[in-house]
Amino acid sequence: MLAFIVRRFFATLLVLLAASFIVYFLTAISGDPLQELRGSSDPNAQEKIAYLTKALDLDTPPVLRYFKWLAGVAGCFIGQCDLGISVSRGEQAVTEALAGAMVSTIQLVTLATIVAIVLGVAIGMSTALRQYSGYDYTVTFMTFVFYSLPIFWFAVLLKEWGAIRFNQFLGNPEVPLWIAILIAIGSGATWMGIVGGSAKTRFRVLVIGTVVTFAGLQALLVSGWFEKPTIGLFGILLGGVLISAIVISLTTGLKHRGMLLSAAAVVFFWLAAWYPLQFLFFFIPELWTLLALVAVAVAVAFVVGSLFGGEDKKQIIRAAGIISILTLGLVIVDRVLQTWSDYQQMIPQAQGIISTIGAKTPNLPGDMWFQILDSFGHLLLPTIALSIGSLAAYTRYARSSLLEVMNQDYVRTARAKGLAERTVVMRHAFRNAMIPIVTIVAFDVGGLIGGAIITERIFAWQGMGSLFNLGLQALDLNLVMGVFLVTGFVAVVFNLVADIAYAALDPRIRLT
Amino acid sequence: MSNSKPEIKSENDQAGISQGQLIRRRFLKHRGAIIGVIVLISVIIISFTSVGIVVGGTGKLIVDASGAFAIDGFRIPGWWKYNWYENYDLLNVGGTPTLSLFPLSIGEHPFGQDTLGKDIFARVMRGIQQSLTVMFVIGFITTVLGVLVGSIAGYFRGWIDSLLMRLTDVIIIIPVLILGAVVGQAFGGGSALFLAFFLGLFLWTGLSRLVRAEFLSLREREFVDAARVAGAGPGRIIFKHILPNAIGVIIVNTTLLMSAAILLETSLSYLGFGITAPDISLGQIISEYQEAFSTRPWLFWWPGFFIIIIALSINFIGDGLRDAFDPRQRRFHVATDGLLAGFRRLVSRKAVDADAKK
Repeated sequence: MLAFIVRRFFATLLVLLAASFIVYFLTAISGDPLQELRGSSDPNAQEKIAYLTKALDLDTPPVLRYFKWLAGVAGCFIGQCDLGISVSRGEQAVTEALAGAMVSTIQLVTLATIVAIVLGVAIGMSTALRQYSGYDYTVTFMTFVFYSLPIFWFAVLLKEWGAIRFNQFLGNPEVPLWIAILIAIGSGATWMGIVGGSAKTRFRVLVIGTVVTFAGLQALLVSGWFEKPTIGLFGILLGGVLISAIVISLTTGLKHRGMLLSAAAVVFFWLAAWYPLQFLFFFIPELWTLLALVAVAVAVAFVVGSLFGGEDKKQIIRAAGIISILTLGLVIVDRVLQTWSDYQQMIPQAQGIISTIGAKTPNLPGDMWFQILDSFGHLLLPTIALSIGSLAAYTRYARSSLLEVMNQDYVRTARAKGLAERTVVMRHAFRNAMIPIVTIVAFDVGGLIGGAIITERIFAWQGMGSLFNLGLQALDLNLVMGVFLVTGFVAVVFNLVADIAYAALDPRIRLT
Repeated sequence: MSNSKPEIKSENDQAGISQGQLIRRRFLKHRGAIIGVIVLISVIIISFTSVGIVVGGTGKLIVDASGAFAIDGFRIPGWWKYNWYENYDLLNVGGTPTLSLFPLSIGEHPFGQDTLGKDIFARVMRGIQQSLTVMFVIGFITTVLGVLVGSIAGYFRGWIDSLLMRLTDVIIIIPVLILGAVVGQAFGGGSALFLAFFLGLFLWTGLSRLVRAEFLSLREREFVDAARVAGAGPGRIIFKHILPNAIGVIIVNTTLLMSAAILLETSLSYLGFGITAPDISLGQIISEYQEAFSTRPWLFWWPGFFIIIIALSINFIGDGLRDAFDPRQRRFHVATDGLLAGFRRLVSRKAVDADAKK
């Protein structure tokens, strides 16, 4: 295994070397970076041209210049990276520009990837379990539409409806009756499709889903929730119960008494902690407070699970941990939403809560909670735009992967020995179906670091994609190569990770 | 549908159907794919006949000797009375579309006009022509190269395989945007054909890997041994014996690649690296008019609509082909034992417990 990794690593380095030469050469021959200056009538232009020609070493032919550049890259191995200067960014060092852009891009793509994976796998698996149902056909059709959606077109629509119109709605929250009814019926039909079952069950789910959605929407509108969204103690209780119901029904099943007790204890713990936590949040609004709380959440789950777990201790601790962390998430969201009204006062009038420009509001006063709400407002739309395509892809992969596994003999064996359908699906089928997904995710993550060019441009994010775009427009060779180096390296490393993960997860595959 | 089933079966028993007939029949049963084929063909016919085609030139807008705009090449006009490069008088204020559904009428400028009075229908049709051209050319070149490289690597294995696969690795990590920039800036924009040709030279890598994997498993089969024993050379074995068996993978992936290609071309053109003004493509139109979305949405809706329509129908065709070539995904039955059933069990047990306590 180690020999394989070492050999592959050196092979990929060679590949990267060859590719970087091609990219360098192609970019170098695609034009003259000083073209604008040469045409300019500025008296200093001549001087500047001479200076930049020397600084960028333009008199050296591209092939030789590449090796000079490579020497600078080799310096990275001894901690002295020299990727040259970027003309288009005011002669900033490329390493500096990259560092800033990488933070921004990682912030953007991490959330989008997580959303796409979690939702995609959940939707894909539910469609596989309801194969050839109306729900399956609808979702399949939607994934095809998402596949075919040009992202730049979709993003402009998002800007119009998700930001401008939605901010208007938040300013004056009214939903016409017919739209409310449509939303309610849509939600009822979705639940009907997911739950499935006999005609009677389906009809009942449809009616209940429609009525509950409609009543909930009206209640939110009447109580003025959209003007000042909050969760509060009641919201945390409701959310905690819902989370518990979903997690329990997916893991141990609702008839497991120890599990039910643990879930109740965990949700109760966070309800009891809510009031004291407000003081903590007010006085110490720091990142490590949140990290410490995550640790507390895990500890609570561990204690509770050990107390009530009985024979299934391990499994219950795990499930209780998921419930605990998600409920903690609700508590934090509650705290962030408390800043809503003040935040609206702080931001510029024209902006609105959902923003379409950049990663954050410049010079925003206020503590961490304001910053979180601000980041969220900025992240929402680019995240939707970015994740919609990969969401469709993961849905398809998860569906076909689970379908394939469900036809395997070991699933039939699991059924034959009398296991509950939930255990068969979640423990025998799901884990095996995830193996190919994990490798696909690893591939995609490798490509993500440089891949958000269009989204970054539309939402004015200063990430790797916009650097690359800028570099190409301005024929800024050093900048282009810097971005390529990072993205290429990450891509080949994650390819390697994908291979190793595949072998680690599936013992039938051996790396040689 | 229900009538045709026993018929097929009896035919099956008597005459037997060839593999090709079987695949064709499965494909024709795929409703989505058939609709996709019909829609795609209609889009192709309408776009090419309406504004006519340009032959013997790049089709780009140029300024001729007298200073007037002209088309590079000879334009065969179509049945649509307007073209995509001339400015006309604004018919409605702001150039709103004349298309209406009640009563159904097309009017003079069904998709509206831009601020200069250009006819959007003609522009969109020309854009479709360009984007489709790019798509088909990329599809063709990538298929040829991908099949060639993949089959040689998979059949000969050894050092040829290693060499070709490392070459694939190198090409796969070159960003496509750079290729667009090179075409745009080094070769002065080129025509749609040239862009497509150049992109095709770099996009074959995915297909070649798939073909190679297919060849690696097929070359170990008995029929290949039989052919070799009978004295067939490598060329004959590759193209006459193995390739027909790998055709399913190739066709399906070429279709999917083509739907990716049209999105790629439009994205490149949107960013200003593919087909750029004054030349037209669907992405270029959206790029040109994106600022006008809130005031003149029709400049934006129509090209986007056609991108989706084309990509969607090709995706459906690809799905139909996949089902036709590889019908292995059988149906399996799963009891619907979800949230609701668990909840009901819980409630009913509570009721039983309560009864017992009484």
